[in-house]
Amino acid sequence: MQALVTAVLEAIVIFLFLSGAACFAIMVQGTLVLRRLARQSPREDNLTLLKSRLVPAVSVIVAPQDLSAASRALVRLLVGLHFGDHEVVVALDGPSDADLAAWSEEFHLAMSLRRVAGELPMGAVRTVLESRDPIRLAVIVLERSGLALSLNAAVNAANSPVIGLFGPECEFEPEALLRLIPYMLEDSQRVIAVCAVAPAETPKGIFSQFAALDFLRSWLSRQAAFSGWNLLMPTSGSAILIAREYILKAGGFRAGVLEFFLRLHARARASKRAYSVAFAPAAGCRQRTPRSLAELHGWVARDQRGTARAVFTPGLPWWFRCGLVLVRFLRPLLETFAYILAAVGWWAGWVATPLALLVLLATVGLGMFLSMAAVSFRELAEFHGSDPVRLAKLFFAAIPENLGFRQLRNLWLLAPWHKRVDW
Amino acid sequence: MTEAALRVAILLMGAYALVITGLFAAALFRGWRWKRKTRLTVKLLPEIRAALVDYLAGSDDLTQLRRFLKISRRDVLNAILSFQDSVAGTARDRLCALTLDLDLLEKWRRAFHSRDLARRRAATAGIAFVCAYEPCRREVGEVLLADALEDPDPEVRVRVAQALAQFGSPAEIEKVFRMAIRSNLVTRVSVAGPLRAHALELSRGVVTEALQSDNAPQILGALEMVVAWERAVPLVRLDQMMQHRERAIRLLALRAVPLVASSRENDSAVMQLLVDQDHEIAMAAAAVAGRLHIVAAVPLLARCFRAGNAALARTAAAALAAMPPQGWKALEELAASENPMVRSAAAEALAHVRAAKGT
Repeated sequence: MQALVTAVLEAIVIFLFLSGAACFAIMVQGTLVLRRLARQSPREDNLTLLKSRLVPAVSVIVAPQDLSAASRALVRLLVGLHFGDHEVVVALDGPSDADLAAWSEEFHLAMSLRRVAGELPMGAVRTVLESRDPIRLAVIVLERSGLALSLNAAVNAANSPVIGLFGPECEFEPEALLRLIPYMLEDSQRVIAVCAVAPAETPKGIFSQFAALDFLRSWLSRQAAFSGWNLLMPTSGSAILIAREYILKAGGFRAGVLEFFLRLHARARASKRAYSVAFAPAAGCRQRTPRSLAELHGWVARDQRGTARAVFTPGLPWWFRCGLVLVRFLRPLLETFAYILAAVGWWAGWVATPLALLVLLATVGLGMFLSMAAVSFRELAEFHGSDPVRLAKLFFAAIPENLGFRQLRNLWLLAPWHKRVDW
Repeated sequence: MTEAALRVAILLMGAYALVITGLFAAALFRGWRWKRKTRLTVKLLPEIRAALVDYLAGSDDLTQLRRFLKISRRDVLNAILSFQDSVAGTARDRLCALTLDLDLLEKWRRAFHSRDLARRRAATAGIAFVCAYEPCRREVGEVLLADALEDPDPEVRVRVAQALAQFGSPAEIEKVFRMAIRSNLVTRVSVAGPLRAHALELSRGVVTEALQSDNAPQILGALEMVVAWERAVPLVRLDQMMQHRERAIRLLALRAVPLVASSRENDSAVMQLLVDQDHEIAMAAAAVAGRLHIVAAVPLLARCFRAGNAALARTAAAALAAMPPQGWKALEELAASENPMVRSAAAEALAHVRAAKGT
């Protein structure tokens, strides 16, 4: 029994060290990509972009999953984006009379003569409303039909050649569209979409620090490094611009934005044509940081379900999908198993103390170093410094993160693997 | 065996910890320096601006500015450049001359060839600004500016192109135009504004030359510049562009038609495109027909309703609505159609017309 337990634990430790080294290498790659992007990013010439007739119009579409005041506030922010020619198209999925009254009151909505027709499958349109205020806002009221059909209805109703999408957890600056559009203009044949996301300022509180560390690691790897391999995965805090014709060619949304984006990658790779999804970390779009443990749990679970979506998307490279399974599923599973086995084995006398220490080093120790590396890498990737106090707080938050929260997070990562969600 | 592995792991992790700690210390130090610099800028910038304003108002005392230059060179440069959009005429010349007096121009010239992109960009920004002043231009040298138009960095190219478009000779302006039509759309957007003042001269020369070439990307670039200028230009044979084999060129030529003098050939080309199988082109043609009030296109616009495309029908309806009374009469007939899409598009346009008329 002792030999078996020792062999199993040794194998797990080797796997954990190897996967940790791979994560570290990916974060280094992400840092290099971010540094290159920071060096290349041109100065802002917003006024020229605002006035030019050559800049294509953008339809920002949104299908709020709840019709609360927060969603209305988001739409108000979207309407207020600075851009020469943009409209906001909101698809309300089966709103109640009370919801509709609240939206109508807030935006002074009135019946519109606009018709929604297009080639994408969409939900049954109840009515189309437009704001009487001097803002370009169209609200498509649908019978209950789900997120994908609502988004398709918004695309069908959109008048512009470029579609903008802002995730529900995206904090953005009013100039976000002006900072995103140059990527599409630089090479409109090759760049099929632009995705922007960056870490937000970390609010006070230990859970916010944990969330910031978690996002930082994911940002350096799944956004920055993957963008270097043209496999960028948007998060729910991303802002995306995409040419409308690519949405139409791909047959529209089937589950949500993430599923569509991954399918777009798969289609583009299958077509063998040169394509690129541009990553814009400095576009002023940031992932909102959770502030409580419950919010953090929701965020980790959503993120993991998004990863599951990527793993099950056919057409993406096998190494990419295998890597996600190894790092995001197998590692937390084996790590949790190793804790239990090492603790029980040490208590029963099957596991020697050095091996138990090795397990701790491969889990807690490596986790701390990866988080600390992420904080340092982010700083080195940018061309300006951060507040030293804030930096030190985040750096040392890696210690408590790996002494309790990491183990809890492993359990969270294992729980929702069977589900696939979208935003 | 396990103990040996533990020792190796501890050794490796120790080395790793040292590297991470070193990186963190570097980041911390940089953060501290950045904070100090930011504080200094906040304190210094208003004083530098005040000194610059004094200088622009006629004071010849450069002692203060030289002192600031020693404390924070970057802030002085930023302060000078921040004035570029707010000064003109002699004040601008004086500001440019200041860069000569403070030896800034010579340093920019040296940094212009730097391999460090950030340095090169900063130097370009400065040189592009002082190009407005002839003595500075002489000092910089025309060769340097012409070479910069071929720089691998688009940001450098755009900066120099903007400066040359504003203050360059006719030959340099032509060179800027040629560079713009070879570059990407962002460059054209950035350069179109400064080149707009020379639209007439360029249209008679290089634009026509580019349009008559066989090079499709160049034709596209030239048409994009014309569309971006948004001003009347003397272009001939635009109808040929509307019949070009490249779809993108046909579309852009349609957008450029309202900017050139009306001609029978252009009207006829627009009408031909109204029946194009490509709905986007037909829509663009319908929009142009409405904008130019091509009354002869009314029957073809009415035919657009039968294409079975809702967006095209709506655009054609809007075009008909812009052409009273023939267009309105056609809309009234279409509003009685049995086809719900045709009826709805025509009724929508008529409702807009009536709402605008207040009936």
